[in-house]
Amino acid sequence: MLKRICCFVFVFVILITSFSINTFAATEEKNLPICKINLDTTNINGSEKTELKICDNDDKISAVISEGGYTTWQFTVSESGYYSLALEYFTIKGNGMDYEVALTIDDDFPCDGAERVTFPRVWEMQTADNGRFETDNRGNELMPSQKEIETTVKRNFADYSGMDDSPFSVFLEEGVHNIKITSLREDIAVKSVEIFNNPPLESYAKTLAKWEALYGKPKGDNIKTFEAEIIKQASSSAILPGYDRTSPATSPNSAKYIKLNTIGGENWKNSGEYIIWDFSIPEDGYYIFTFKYRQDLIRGLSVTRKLTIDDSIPFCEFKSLKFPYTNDFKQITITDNEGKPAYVYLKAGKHTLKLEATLGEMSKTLKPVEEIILKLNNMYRRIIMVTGVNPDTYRDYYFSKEIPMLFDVFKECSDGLKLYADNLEKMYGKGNETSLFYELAAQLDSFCKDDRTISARLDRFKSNISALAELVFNLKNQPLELDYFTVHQKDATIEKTNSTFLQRLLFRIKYFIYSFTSDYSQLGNVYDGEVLNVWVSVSDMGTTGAAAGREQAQLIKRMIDDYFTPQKNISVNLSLANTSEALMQSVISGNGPDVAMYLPKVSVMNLGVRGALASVTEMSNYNEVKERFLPASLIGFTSRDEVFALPDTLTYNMMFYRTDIFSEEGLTPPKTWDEFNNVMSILSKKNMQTGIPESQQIFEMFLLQNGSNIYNEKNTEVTLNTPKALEAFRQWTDLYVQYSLPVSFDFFNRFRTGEMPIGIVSLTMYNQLCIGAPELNGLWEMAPIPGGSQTCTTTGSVVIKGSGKEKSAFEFLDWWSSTETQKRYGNQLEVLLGTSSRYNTANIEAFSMLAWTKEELSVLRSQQEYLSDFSITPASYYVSRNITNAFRRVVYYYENSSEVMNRYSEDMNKELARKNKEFNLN
Amino acid sequence: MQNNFIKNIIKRKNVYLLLSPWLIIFIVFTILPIISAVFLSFTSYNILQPPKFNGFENYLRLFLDDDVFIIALKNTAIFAVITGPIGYIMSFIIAWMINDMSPRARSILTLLFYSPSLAGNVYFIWMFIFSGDSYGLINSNLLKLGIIKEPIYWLTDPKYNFWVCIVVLIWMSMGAGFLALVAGFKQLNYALFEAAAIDGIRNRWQELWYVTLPQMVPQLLISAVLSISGAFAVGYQCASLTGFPSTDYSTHTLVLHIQDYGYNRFEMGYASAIAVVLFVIMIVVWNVINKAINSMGD
Repeated sequence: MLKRICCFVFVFVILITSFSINTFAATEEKNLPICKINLDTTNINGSEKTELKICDNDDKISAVISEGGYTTWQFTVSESGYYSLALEYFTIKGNGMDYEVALTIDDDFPCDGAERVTFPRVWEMQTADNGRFETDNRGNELMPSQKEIETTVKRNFADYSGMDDSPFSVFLEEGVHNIKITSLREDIAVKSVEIFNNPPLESYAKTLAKWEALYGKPKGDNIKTFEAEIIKQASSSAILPGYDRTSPATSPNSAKYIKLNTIGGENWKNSGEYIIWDFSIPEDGYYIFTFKYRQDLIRGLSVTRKLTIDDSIPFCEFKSLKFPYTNDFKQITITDNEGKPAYVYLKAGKHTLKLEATLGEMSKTLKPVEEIILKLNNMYRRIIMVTGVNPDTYRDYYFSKEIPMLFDVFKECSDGLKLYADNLEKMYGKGNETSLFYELAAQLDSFCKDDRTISARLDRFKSNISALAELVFNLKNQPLELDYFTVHQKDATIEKTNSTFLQRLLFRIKYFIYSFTSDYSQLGNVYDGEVLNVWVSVSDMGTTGAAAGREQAQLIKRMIDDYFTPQKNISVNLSLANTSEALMQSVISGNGPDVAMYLPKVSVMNLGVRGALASVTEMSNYNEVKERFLPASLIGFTSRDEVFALPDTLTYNMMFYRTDIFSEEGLTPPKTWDEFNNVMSILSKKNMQTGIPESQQIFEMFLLQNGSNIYNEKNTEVTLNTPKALEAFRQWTDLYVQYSLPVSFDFFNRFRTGEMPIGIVSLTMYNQLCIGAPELNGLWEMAPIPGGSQTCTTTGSVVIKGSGKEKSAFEFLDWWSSTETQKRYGNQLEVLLGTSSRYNTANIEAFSMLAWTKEELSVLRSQQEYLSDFSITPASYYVSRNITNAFRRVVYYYENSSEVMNRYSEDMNKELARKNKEFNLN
Repeated sequence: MQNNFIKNIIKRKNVYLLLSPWLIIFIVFTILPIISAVFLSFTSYNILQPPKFNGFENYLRLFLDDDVFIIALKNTAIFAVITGPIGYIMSFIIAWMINDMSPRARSILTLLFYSPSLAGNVYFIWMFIFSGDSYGLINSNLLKLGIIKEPIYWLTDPKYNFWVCIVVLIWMSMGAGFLALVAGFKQLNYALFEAAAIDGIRNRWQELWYVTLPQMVPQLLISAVLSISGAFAVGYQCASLTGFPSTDYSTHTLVLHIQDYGYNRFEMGYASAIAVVLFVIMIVVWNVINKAINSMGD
């Protein structure tokens, strides 16, 4: 018996060790049979919801697979081995989202990531007649708009969302196989599928020798320069030109006007993202490439690009070209291994140049390191489940008993970290980056040696993990900004373009002087005479999920000039205003705008009750317009029978939770408060927390769910001292008193580490999590809040009374709030700035047309059904500050909640009566 | 009398002409606002609609029916009494000590002590130090040492936030008054020190009191005025640290009270009445200080 157990344990240990060796061992040589199997529409042997038709003008038939449909092919492989796959597709128009397909071979997903492969659409930048960009009537170049074009694209099956953008490597036995492509999003027109292995690329030395034998030695002095901002095509519509005005060295350049003169940077950093340029050369010969670039975003690291000319990589060295860190624009000539310029033989005429961001060798290191981070985060969570976040340093927690696998995982992770640090050093040389790996590894080793030190060093452990996550995030980014590139021959001399100190000084002085003459708060075309003046309140946009900034306002202005002005013949000047306070002051002095956008509801009502705003009910088609919004979003703008604004954005709380931790703990997302309380106590037993911020919205939610209100029907008294409201107040304060939730915390960070796996926070957290926590992709979800009902936060557009331009102002509001405009704005914004700028429009129809997934949309929809709101009175500011005071009385000093609320209610009533008297509202 | 005044102006018109740029700016931007504030304090005025005269109603309400005003007055007084003199005395002592150092060390230290008020909003770092989060700098260390079990809400708990404000205000109090004192020490007449030594000064305290201070009355005065007006104008620093308004008005000051009524409630008439009261208080306090300093060394 004992022998048997020993044997079993032995096998088990072997299994475990072999497994861990496997994960970290370098990949052994794979058999990659060189071949090319092309499956076009004539080979199809089965399909559903697929239509064969000619989409293109080259007479080739495409199989248009509708969303949810599939097509299958059969093919034969003559040799067992690993193969790559590529898809040739035609970008037919649809809803504007990227195509997503699932790849199955012999009824099984052949590798990780095959469940969902993304194939992008193609965007083309719209340029003006002179080949550059359109300008506004003041001479500034405008950000070009993007147009979707229909063209044929061939792209490998690969996981572009992750780090490893190399094509999937699928093992296929010799024989007949079945391949099936299912469309998951949008209708995709498939032209062909290819199963291939390309012959390995030859080295530069070999290729050059071959060329020299054919064409002789490099010579000639041709030179041609191409502006990088004028591109042919880019993989993503977010790759847009930018402008650099820090020095006179960028080309083109002007101290007075905005000239778009660079491309890339922050928006060209993910692996797989590429830019294609056209270039032409006058005669056959050997050419050298020189780029003027800047990489100042990631300190001390170089970024990698893959260079392709006319759809093929000339030699294997061009698969990963390094662009080192530089904080100013610098020229770099592509060289061979010995530092001599690398020649490429090209025929005279037109060519294309493609640079693609790639992680190259590094992806093989980063992916497992990311897994290590996940594992260590998991261990951290397990440790705090035992100790709490503030462990007792003098206590022995017996970790080896409490968390048996802890030391195995630590050992494994420590070995892994050391191995990958070595790998990185081979690529980058010794440096700051790898020291963090070693530090963490050393910490893990010492934890294994003496587990009693864990509790004292937990903080450091946690900060090391997040520093490592940050580092991996940075290493993954490959931002590169280009000014121009030069194609030249051996004897041509490239002019030095770096500016001297004096030139730079002169430029900055000129720039400073011009800054007095142009008004930067004005955007785009500026008109004289009869115009509608519109202000955008930037800071308020930022806090309400519309994201702050010039880009947004610029886009609004562009849409106005392109659609509204031609349609209604009303010119509009758009300016940026900082706050709603500035608006108040300008209205007083009579210099105010005619329309103001994105005002928070409190500001709207402040202006409204004092008679500064025109009621939107005066709009001729108001009854039709109001149907665009949820009735709840209008309540906050309504005073008696007047409505002072049309809503722009609408945000509300959602429940965010970590799916991985929930399934680990066997929890289901709570739907009722009973269930929620249950989850809270389970989590708190495991030393994890629940995040509910100290905000009035939470109280309002409890009020609504208890069937109470803040004010009575005529807004003459507060009803917070009624039994129902007192019950709501008790429920709210009990969260902090009974369940001792933290009052002050950073939800985003604690959600990331898993300390706080559930929270009720604003919908804008979605944007933050999408962009700021890529490692959590797929590990969290949002759900409607328990009980459903809650109030909402809105911003709105208002029309200022007494300008004499109310009629055109109403027409503007009508146009702006229409589904068409809001949908276009939301989509364009995301095209321009990425998912992080998801726009929470108040127009419900337009909201559902944004790029939400079906599941997300149905969750948000079901939450929207429950939205409601309370009206705002002139004394609202006073009510909300007293609610906060009452809350803190109870939570800080454990006073009796009903008593406290009764006391503060009296104060509120007094102020309400006074304000009602002031405005004759009784 | 009036004739004389006009005659005087005509007679010395060149002098008045040279004075006029400053005089015009002074009248437009200082005298007129004060007069209009006094006028508005007798009206009900909501900014958007024209003011309505309502007699002493604002003042009656202010003194008889506004609890928060009393809290604000009390807080302002405590702030002024604690941070004003402490800041003032600290400025003086540090300036005195710096004065004995080498010129190089003196200029570096002057910059160092002056930097908190030079750098404007740097007091925001105190928000991280006193954060109510359990990971806040002070909270996390106190938790680790086992002194507290729950995080303390330094900035929102009325028990603590007032003292946090005082710490930050003292830290910021080395302002322009401090520079005036540093300069004052440099212009002392050293012949007088020798004379005093011969006359029998026994220690540095006597020297300070009988020789140094009487020579520095102008600098002391300007520094006192700056620190008093600074102490009475405390407000925005508290508001940005503890929120506006703070919990139960625990760090509410007169300036914040004015802001509350002016910008949140749009009751400009009432806000003006508070401003007038603050103005009167400052004049009275300044007169007292002026007398005290002038009697120094007597």
